[in-house]
Amino acid sequence: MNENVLPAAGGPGVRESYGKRLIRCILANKSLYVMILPVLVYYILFCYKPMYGVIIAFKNFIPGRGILGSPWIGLQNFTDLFTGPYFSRILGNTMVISLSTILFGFPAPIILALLLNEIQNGVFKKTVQTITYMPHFISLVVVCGMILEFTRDSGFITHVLHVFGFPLKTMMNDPKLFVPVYVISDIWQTVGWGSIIYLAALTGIDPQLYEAAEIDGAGRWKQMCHITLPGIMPTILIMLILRMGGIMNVGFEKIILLYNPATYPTADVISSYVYRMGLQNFQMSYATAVGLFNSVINFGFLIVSNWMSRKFNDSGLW
Amino acid sequence: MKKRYGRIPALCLACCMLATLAAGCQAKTNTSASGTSGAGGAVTYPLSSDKALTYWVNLNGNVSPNYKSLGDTPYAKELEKETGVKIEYKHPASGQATTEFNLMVSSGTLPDMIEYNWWNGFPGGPDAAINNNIILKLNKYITADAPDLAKLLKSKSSVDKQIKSDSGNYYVFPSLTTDPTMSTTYGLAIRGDWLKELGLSTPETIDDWHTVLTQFKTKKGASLPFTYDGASSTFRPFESGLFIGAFGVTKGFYLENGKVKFGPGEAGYKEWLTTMAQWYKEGLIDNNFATNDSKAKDADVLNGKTGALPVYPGSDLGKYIPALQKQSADATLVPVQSPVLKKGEKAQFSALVNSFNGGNGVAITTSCKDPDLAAKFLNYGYSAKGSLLYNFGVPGVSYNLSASNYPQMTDEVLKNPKGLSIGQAWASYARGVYVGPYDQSKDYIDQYYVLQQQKDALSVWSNTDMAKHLLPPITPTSDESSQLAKYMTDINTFVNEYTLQAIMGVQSLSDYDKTFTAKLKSLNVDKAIAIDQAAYDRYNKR
Repeated sequence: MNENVLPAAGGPGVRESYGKRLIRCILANKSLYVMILPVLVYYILFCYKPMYGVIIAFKNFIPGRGILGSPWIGLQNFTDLFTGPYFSRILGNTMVISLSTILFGFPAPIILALLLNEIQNGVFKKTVQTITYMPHFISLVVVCGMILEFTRDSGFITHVLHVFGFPLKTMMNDPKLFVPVYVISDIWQTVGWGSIIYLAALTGIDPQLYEAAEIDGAGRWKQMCHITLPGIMPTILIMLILRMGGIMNVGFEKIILLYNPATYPTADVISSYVYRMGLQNFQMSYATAVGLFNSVINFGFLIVSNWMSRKFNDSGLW
Repeated sequence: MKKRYGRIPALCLACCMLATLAAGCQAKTNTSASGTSGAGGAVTYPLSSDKALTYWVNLNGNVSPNYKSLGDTPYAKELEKETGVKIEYKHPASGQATTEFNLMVSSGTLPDMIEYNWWNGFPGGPDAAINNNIILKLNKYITADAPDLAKLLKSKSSVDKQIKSDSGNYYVFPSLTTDPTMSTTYGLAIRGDWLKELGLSTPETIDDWHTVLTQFKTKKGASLPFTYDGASSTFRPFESGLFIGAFGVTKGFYLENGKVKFGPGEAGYKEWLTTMAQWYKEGLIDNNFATNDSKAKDADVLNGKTGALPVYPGSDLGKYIPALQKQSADATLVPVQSPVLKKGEKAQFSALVNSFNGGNGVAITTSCKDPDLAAKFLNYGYSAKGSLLYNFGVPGVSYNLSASNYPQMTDEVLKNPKGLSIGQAWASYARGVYVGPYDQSKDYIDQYYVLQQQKDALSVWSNTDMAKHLLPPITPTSDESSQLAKYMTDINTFVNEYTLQAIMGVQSLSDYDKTFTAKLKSLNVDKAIAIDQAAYDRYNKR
């Protein structure tokens, strides 16, 4: 902290007020603060100031009357959400899809990074890296179009699986197959790009540790377990906490592009349900209430995972 | 030695970044509507005015490939010349009309005129839009400044009823298709050459269709005898009453003897589901109909895999028939009626639409400083000369009036030298091929549909009793509409899911009463029907 760098004014032993210390801090690092000022203003203007609009979750927002002129309805929107006939299903689907994506999608980039780290051949390593992170740049709409084409009864993925005994039927008509297709295509698209940050963290591990371990007789596997993994553990935990903060935000674009009424039982999530609700009549208050509900749950998860991380590993976001 | 960047450049950069934030701020325009109505009586064009009016409308798909703004088209230039009013057009991003409309209305910064589906596109309905100070009540403006529209409404009272709100307010200058022969533009078509080859007559009943489709599959090798592109709208043909109409219901709300009914709640729905499930099992319906997009459908038709499908005469028949004839000279798709249950019955349901076409119309907003000018401008579309412009375009360029006053389109439109399709060429000079504040003329569709099969389609498909069952443009009240929206989201989710699973054979129909009818009742379908019934009763009293 900058406090250590500043000599205490007024001589040793004199306690400065917080305000005075703050001003001295800022003056001593003027350029840094000026650099961060636009970012700060951006967050205040575009993230915090609009938060007051959350208020329409408790009102029946009527476009012509504006936010202040619309009548209060209290928790009516939330009651409607919780007592809707499909609430338990959409909540369940959201959690299932989200947790599956985390459970299978989170370790994948880590494993890829660890594997890439073991490769000695530079050309091969770079080729694999480039190929794995290319899918990240393909637009989601194109990816979903490809998925729908390849999983049709005449699609090549279906034919390949048919060799292993799968029936030749359109996979996206089957609710049981929706989540696997969703998760696996998600892994395919994000594994390469996600591994970049872990590869970066891996370069931060002191090579002397590896040398010492080799001298002590540790094989590749033991080295990975005892040096590599603990070395990137802080990065892993921080990424996990950030991921948990978005647990309720199952990206509705991909769901909507892939689902159809046949797969509603497993594919309909909170965001796609509200999207359909919004199409019929522009229910801004209702959508805001659902968004608020989502954010509160996300925030809860974020706090819990940060607390767990601090408790078990002494590192967290704050 | 590394050069250190000075403090001054860094500070300047920061200030520049801050300044970009201010770019988003717009001065709030202070507007007030001035409202002295005109004296009434005939309006002479061109009007003498130097004011410009702003006009928000979705850029039609026939215009957008060739022009970035409607104002660039020869149509708009001719319109400005004839009316004497300068118009600044504003368009939402393609496909974003609903979102941008809602944002625009919520923000309070409105253009002078907005063309949109004001009938049910604004939450709470047209009266809510008026009461909440978004748009103006047009009654006095129509009387004073729009004599041509007033005359048209007086001569057609059914149209007048459709475009008013329940409280008798006029809220838009409407898009009209008053000629009933033009109002059914979607229906079934079948490979006429295959029927001839197999010695089959045009199928009329459900059983006929079963025979025909089976023979298509077995004798013509059509692996997908009946298909359509369900990716954009899972049940579009059934929502228009095709096939399902044979069982006395349609997939949605309809009228029966003055009572509003909901198809899935009636007995006929189970019979229809049973038939469809049977056909699906036998492979007569494309197993992928729910995930097909339009490209898949095109491929199926042109590769001879499909023998029958629902079509739009303009875009579909106009595309398929020439392509099929390149493969085989007597290949043809002929329009057919939706089947009935027993021979001799008249089909009850079709894709008939109301004269108030899609609820689309132009409203004058409360931000307009000269509503009289706007009303006079919009009135032009309903006048004799204006109707010609809106329907056919620029005299001498896109059409010529024949000796008998028939507007004959020129080759500039029908065989465009730059290779544009008829639809796109037409849309450069006129509105005829899409909706707007005017009445669509029959003479447009006679010339737009060049093939005989297209022309036949209209008469074949409109030979039904749908007029007895079509719900007019009813409007629930502001409170009711949000209730209705909540009910219908859940009801539609359930009905669509159940229907698709039943057709695909995943959901058995043996316990139909318990699994479907009882569940439907628990989702408040009766209350939804009651809301619509109340709206219909109010409609009748308009």
